[in-house]
Amino acid sequence: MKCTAVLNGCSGDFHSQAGEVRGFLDACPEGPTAGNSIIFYSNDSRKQDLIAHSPTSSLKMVKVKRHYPESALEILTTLERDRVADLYLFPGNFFGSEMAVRFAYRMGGSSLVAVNKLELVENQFICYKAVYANYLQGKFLLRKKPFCLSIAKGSAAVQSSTRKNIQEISEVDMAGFAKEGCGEDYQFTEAETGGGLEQAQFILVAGRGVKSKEKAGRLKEVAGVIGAELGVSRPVAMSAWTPLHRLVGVSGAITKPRLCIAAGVSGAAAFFAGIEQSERIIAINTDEGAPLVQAADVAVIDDYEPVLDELVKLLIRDKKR
Amino acid sequence: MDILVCFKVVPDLDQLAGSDWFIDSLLRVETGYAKTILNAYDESALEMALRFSESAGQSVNLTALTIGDEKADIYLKTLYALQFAKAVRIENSVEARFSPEAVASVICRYVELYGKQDLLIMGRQSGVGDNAKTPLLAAEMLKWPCITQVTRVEPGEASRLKVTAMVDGGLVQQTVRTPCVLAVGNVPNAYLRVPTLKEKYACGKKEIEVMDLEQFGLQGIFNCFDTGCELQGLALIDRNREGVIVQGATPAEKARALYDAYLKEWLEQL
Ligand SMILES: Cc1cc2nc3c(=O)[nH]c(=O)nc-3n(C[C@H](O)[C@H](O)[C@H](O)COP(=O)(O)OP(=O)(O)OC[C@H]3O[C@@H](n4cnc5c(N)ncnc54)[C@H](O)[C@@H]3O)c2cc1C
Ligand SMILES: Nc1ncnc2c1ncn2[C@@H]1O[C@H](COP(=O)(O)O)[C@@H](O)[C@H]1O
Repeated sequence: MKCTAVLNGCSGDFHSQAGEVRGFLDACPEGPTAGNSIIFYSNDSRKQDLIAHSPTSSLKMVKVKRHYPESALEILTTLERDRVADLYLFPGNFFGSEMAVRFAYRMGGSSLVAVNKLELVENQFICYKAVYANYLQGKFLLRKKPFCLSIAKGSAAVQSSTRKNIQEISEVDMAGFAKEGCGEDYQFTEAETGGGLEQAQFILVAGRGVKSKEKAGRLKEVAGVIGAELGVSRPVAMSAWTPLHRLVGVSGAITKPRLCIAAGVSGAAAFFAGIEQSERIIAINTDEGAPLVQAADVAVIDDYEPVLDELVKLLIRDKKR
Repeated sequence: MDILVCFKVVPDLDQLAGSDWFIDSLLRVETGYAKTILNAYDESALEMALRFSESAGQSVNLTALTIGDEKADIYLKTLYALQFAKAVRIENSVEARFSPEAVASVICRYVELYGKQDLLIMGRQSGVGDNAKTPLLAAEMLKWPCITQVTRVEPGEASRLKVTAMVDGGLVQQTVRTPCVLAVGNVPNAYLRVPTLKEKYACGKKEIEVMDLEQFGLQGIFNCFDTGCELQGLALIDRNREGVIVQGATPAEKARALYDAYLKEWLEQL
């Protein structure tokens, strides 16, 4: 089965989009073969870098003024009028999860968002994705082609090496095209970066059990002292105790640290998906029955504050030695 | 200005312990004993609509719509108390967890028949299907523009809105013309306000509008809609690890035990 990957080269996360698509396809050896990539871009100075990181050796570069979904969808639908692919694969970022669904609708196909695995069994196309707030894995048979999927964030091992054997590049200039009526006064502000939770080797995660904005601020200091990056659960982020970019879980960062300490977090599945790829997990919780206690390697059942205070002392002591 | 907010009432799945999960041979999952909650994104969507109507400086007509059974009625009552002009439930007790195409069709039919809506506000994703598709499909069906991951909406000039939304790597502020669809993302400090007793009392007798699918010519839609995507299996994801509990008489003692037996070595390996 031929697959076309669709990527957004206008945004700063292009390398991880491309690496994710490659990693995802590599993990499905009996699945589709990567055929072609369609890459939207706006900045000529980045073009060579985008080409070098393309997930496939055959690609189409589509120049646009900037990424605007309404325009991108019209362009993509026009380009793929005589659709050659049965499968369109989109990355797991905001761009991909929106485009997969809307493009499928326009092409009369079927879509699924956040797919973590796919299989081709006797010509049947099977996709897996987490459902029921991440407690269950769902298995779906897709029937209407083209199949348009976005990848579940963090589910693929990112393969981000450059490619030397680019064979076929075609170009389309759509920079003059814009859909009317939307996206006036478009102003982009780059996000504060979360210190790279996704890349961090050691994270300290604070949950609702930390109780207040002040205490969450104190944990930020503790994280600094012990050399960890601070992450938080949804209630902490939604109460604005910390900035949103610290959110860990399906709605935030999917982390892959070597060590994770989670304090005052119950361990709901939508949260746990954000730390489950940690090599080691330590839970600190007053409630022995909290799901995270069983899902951790080691747990301390107690108030997180005196426990962390003592750990900080021990760490400082050993650092001085 | 007429605003339609679509919301869903969902079971609080975090209340189910590992042993509570039961998937039967027809792939049904019993969630009846978990309490219901407003889908998290929809709660923000409803609050966002209320804030918008307060800041609009023009009259705003708010309608709340849900497709589901009578479990939603107490939420609809609350929305009346919070000054929603209309609270509508389209009766459905048929399984619709993986049918966002059908849900979007019903919402669009409502807009076409009863609508003249200027703005459709929805959550970006809802349980238990976690589809993250309905607002996108509704926008496609209505041929309205759609903005996803919305965090803020303010009135603009001449049937325009100022919308702030998250995009990959940042935030975008833009002006859009109505009608349009907004899919609400993660919004800090946007829990739904609680009505006062007086507000509750004032609308106590106001009836929820319950409609059925036949009124829309869509009877049976949830039984026969072909989404091109068929559920074939459901399995509980096992996430348990060793869960060793560190012993000690005081928090400090436990911390030392943790440090000596595990943490010290793990930190050295970093
Ligand atoms: C569609 C959807 C997406 C979601 N996405 C995410 C997501 O990305 N990230 C996320 O985190 N959640 C997400 N959630 C929410 C998730 O389901 C849980 O509600 C949330 O993770 C709970 O956060 P918590 O563990 O901090 O709070 P709680 O569940 O309230 O747990 C607090 C814990 O702190 C413990 N505690 C209390 N006091 C102390 C103390 N002094 N010392 C130590 N422990 C203490 C308690 O025993 C309890 O276990 C999502 C939900 C949905 C429906
Ligand atoms: N049964 C329903 N009734 C009303 N709105 C719904 C319903 N199901 C989904 N929605 C809306 O669609 C959004 C996304 O849902 P979903 O596509 O199922 O993840 C939700 O946040 C709601 O705003």
